[in-house]
Amino acid sequence: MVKPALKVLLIIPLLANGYLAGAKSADRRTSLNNLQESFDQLITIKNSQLLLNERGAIELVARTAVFNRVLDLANEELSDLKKKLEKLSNPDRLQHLNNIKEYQSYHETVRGQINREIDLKELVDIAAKFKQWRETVYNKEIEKTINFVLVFQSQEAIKTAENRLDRIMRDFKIIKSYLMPNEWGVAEKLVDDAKNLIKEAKKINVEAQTSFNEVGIQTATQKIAAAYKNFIAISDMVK
Amino acid sequence: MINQLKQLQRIEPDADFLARSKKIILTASPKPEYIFQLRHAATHFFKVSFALGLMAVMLLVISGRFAPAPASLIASLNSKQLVRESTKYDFNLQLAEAQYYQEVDKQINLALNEIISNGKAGP
Repeated sequence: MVKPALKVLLIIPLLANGYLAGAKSADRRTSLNNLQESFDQLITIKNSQLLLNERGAIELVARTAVFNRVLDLANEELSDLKKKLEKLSNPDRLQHLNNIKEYQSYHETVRGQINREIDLKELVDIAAKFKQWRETVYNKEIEKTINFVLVFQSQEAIKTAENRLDRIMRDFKIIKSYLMPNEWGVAEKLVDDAKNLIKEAKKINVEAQTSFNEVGIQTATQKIAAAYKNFIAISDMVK
Repeated sequence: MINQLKQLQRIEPDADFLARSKKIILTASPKPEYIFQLRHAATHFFKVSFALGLMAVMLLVISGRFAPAPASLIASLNSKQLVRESTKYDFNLQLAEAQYYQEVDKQINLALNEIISNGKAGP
């Protein structure tokens, strides 16, 4: 049976290690795992048999560690979105990029506040304020950015699919020369259906650009995926 | 004067001079060289044509035996590119991305609640 005090001593290096691992993490999955790990450690401390005055200091360290992991994960999410935005060509991405920069800066301000010598009450107040900011500002804006990325990623997928369709249509005489005459109708139907699917996806995408409707974005992407199934089916026919 | 002119009418070139001049004129004439060049070019042309023709026949024979799959000859139906494009814009991947952000938000909320709350954790 490990004594509670000893348990705490065993946890301290884990917390320190978790902090370093979080600071170095480049992978968002690692950030999520690090948060879960530090969260579990905080739960262990909170549920330990230590008296409140015994566990006060270590619990403050554990809560601070969890907060640091929260900031790591939130920053990872922002970096990920930033990379996706930078790949898009739509000029409106700049507004989203500016927002991200502002949020990253706020995260670092909060990180500075929690890593100073503060007591538990101050830490709790900062966390409550941060949570409220996420609920009232951050989450709404980030949702808009995620939808913006999805809409314009989908738009670029449509452009690529249109180019592919044009090329297939240009090559259609050659494609037919590889098919039996009784297969021409099937191939023509596959191309026509793909053409309609892309057209519908384009229409939905244009609507989604103003409404940022998540279902619409997914429907457009599904239609593009279906158009590609047709292209692959034609490719299989001429093999 | 008239007598002198009549004498000049009978003037004939020296036999040596005649032979030398004839030789110079014959060797300097472009006609034989031109004909030679034309013949040479025609022969060369036929040789090259024959070689190219032979090469084409050989290529046809080889390609008949080792012909790539037809779809790969049609650039627009290049299956590797098609698969790459279709997976790049995979619907499931996009959905997974959206779900990931929701998962992040959920975990952050749980963690912040635990930082804020006092007392023992859990139920």
